[in-house]
Amino acid sequence: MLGKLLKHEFRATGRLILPMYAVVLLVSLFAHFAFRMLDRGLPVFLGLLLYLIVAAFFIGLIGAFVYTFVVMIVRFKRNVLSDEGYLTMTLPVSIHSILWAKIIVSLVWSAATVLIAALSVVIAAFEVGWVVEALKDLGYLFELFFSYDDKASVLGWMLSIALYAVVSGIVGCLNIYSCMTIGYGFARNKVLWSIVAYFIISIILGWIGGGSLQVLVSLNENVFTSETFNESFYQNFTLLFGSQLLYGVIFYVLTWWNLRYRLNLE
Amino acid sequence: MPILEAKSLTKRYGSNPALTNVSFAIEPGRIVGLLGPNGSGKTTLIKLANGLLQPTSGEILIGGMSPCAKTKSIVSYLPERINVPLWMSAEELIKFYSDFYADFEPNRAQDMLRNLGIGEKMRIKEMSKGTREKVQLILAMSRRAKLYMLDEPIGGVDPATRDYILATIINNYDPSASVVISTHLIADVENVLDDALFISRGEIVLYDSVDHIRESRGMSVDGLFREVFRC
Repeated sequence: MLGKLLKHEFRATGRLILPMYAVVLLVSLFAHFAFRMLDRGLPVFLGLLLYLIVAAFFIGLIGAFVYTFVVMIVRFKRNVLSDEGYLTMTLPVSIHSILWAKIIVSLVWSAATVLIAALSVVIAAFEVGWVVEALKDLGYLFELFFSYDDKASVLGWMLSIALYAVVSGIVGCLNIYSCMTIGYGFARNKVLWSIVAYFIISIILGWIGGGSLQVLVSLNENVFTSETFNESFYQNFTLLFGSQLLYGVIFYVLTWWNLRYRLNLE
Repeated sequence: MPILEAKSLTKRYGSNPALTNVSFAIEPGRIVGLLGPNGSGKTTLIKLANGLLQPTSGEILIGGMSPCAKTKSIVSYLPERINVPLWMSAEELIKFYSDFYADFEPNRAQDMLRNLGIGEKMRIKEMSKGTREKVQLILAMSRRAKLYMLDEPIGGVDPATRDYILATIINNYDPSASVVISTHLIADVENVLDDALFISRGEIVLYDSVDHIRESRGMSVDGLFREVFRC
């Protein structure tokens, strides 16, 4: 059933996000020409228009991330916590499946937005010479990697960072979902309670995180550093990854519990 | 085994009781009217049966099971509000239901849409309120469910649509299945009911067959309702 949920989740969100990607790429194409014409001493009106296009490009880049984030939140609210929740929450699927479908789709769109933003920058800044330089730099990076004696370590670092990014994305989603399920459990002022829950949880986790670090440092002052870079990396990675994992479990259980026992659709 | 059973079921919202110590059992093959004035606990009871609320105490069982993914696959639920995504068309909703409900019959839904002159390509947001309600009812009644739970299916629609909705319910449910119809418009549903379950302020005040009510009390269910719930 997760596959079917994913299919419908991608359809419902794709119809909102894909047109946004098209707009961002189109604006980046305009920005490409605008960048090249800015210093050609054009009339004031035309110059202003070019500056507006460039501004639209940068606003679009930031807007793409904000929009993806908003779609993720609004989708969860509409599909689970509002009227559509009467359909979603009575489908013959588990709450776990519903949650994972939302998380996976949010992650995929977030990653896609990063790629689209990168692509739009490439389009806007595209020049043959620039691409040749970029390819040269990329070749240099590969050369550096293959000349490095300990390739396994580099691969390990890269995989660890990628894994951390994915888990952080999941935790970020769950953080927001859990706060929304807390807020929407109240009879009134649901959005306000969701925001209050977000701040309270952030403050509590901040205290716990800060306190835990102090305890760790007091137990072992070399908790963040070691003799080799590799050891230091994994020491820090374990701490950060472990804390993210712990937060993720807390947010997941909180979200699941609220949907299971505190759901209060209007 | 009863298809729907409540055992000492209590639900409170904070300190406000919505249902208090409710017990009853509905056997397969019955059409039951869940009858009570506004705010009597009808919707709460239906939401509990669909797992949208959790009991404060007691239990509610569907075919002997507490509400879960398995019970949801045998219950066809029509909520009192529009629950389908407004951006979807009727055709897309039929595909959606086909994907999730093994007992959904798309041909039946398509036939009913055609009979009502509702275009499959039409988006829900383009439809009138009455048409949206009809589409939802068609989707709910196109399932071969063991239990249909219809929350106020005739509330807020014109008399002609009421007749259509009741005819759709009667013509489309499997006789071995049970139907629970929640309403306060008794006169309209009385003729299709086997049993009547009167609920008042969260408590069951009467659960009897419609025939027995008429015989023993010498009045219609609507008449009894007016007597029991006289303001």
